[in-house]
Amino acid sequence: MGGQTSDFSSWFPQLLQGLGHTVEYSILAIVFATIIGLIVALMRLSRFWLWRAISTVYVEIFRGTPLLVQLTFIVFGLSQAMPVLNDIFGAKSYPLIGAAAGLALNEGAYITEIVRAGILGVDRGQREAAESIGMTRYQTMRYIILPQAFKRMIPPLVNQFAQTIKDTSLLAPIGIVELMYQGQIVVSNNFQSFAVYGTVAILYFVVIFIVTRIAGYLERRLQIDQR
Amino acid sequence: MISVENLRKSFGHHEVLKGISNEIREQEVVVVIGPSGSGKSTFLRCLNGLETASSGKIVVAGMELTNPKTDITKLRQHVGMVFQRFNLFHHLTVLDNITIGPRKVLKRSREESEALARELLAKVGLQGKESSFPDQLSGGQQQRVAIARALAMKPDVMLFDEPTSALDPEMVGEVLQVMKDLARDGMTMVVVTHEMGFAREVGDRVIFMDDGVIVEEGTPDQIFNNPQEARTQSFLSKIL
Ligand SMILES: Nc1ncnc2c1ncn2[C@@H]1O[C@H](COP(=O)(O)OP(=O)(O)OP(=O)(O)O)[C@@H](O)[C@H]1O
Ligand SMILES: [Mg+2]
Repeated sequence: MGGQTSDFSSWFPQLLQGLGHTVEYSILAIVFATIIGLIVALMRLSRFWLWRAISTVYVEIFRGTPLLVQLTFIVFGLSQAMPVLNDIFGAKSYPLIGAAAGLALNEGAYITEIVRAGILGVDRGQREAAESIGMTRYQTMRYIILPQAFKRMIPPLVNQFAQTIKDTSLLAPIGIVELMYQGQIVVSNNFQSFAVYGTVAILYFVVIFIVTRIAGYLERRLQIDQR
Repeated sequence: MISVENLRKSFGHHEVLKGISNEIREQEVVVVIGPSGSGKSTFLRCLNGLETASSGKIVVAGMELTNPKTDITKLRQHVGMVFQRFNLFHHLTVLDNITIGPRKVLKRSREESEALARELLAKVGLQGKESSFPDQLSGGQQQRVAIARALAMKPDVMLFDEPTSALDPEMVGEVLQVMKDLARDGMTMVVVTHEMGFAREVGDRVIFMDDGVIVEEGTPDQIFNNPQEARTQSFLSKIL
């Protein structure tokens, strides 16, 4: 403990530094989860049974087990079973990459279902009209279905992005430096649980608040543009 | 233009089309009538591959639809379809609804496609609506845009599935007028409709379907004034 670390101005920068990593992991996870979600959703709706089987198994596994277990397994379990991962990414970097990948895979499973529901929610007549003017399945998806599905996907996607930001706090127990982890470090030095964890919570809240507000603004803009 | 031989279509164990054969000549306007559930929509949807025939042979514009090797997207470029519920693309403006086919499917330039779209909008009486969205239009206007969208592909034949059934009565006339103009210009048309006035006026031939078969066909005069089959007579007595 000691006077040095009990002073707000001395530990707050440490939290901010953790927050920076939280934002990094969140952005990485959201970007890759969205790409995964889009691809896997199309696989789930494919006519080819193998794509459907693979994508269904993926979604079931990642939605059917706890995220903390997934992260721990990928970061520690996989690197033990496959030391080659450490050789490729480096023993120092693999946990960071594995953690980001684990997050993206988990969130991707949820986004898959959001995208799938969005696509299935588009009226069947839209597809039939597109096919009737000679569009291929790809063109129908790209120009007719996805743009309409996307609009209805925005609210649940934003929800999921907020969830992803919260979920990055589960990187702390596996020893990855981010906001929650830094909070724990600070508290272990100055024992000021109330002030420090309170501040951690406020920082998460602020980030999520900003994200949902920006999303709400963009959604309204899109609504106006397209109507 | 369209040749159908012994077309059968089942959904599961339910046989909806039970052996339909017909020839539709170029520039002919064929009106299909019949009670609800008789298979009129299914028949029409088989003609552009929205439904896959269970058996039989369909040739449209020289391409054999029922041959698995036929490129069905290619075939559909030659067959326009107009739906009861319009099915305009909700996220696109009127202009984009009409140009997206020529641009993305036929790979025409934007300028060329838009010039064509404006021409077609004038033809269906909707100049000035280019930048409206479908939801801002009345049903009659939407259906006319849908017709323009189909015409933009320069189809050889147009299929209409009850194009006026979802419209308020005061809007039926404007859509039928566009269809009459099309018929007069020599378009080959297959029209499922309950509009008997239209059938009499522009139909070259009327087909009466019931329970998955063609019960009777003939000129409008023959079918409406002198039906031979009891089923036709009883159907007509109910609707006329
Ligand atoms: N996709 C489908 N799956 C299962 N059954 C279907 C399907 N489409 C149509 N049917 C059935 O096929 C039969 C014929 O339907 P269809 O829509 O062709 O009739 P219709 O003559 O167009 O009737 P309406 O005048 O009501 O439009 C009906 O019994 C209908 O329930
Ligand atoms: Mg029908």
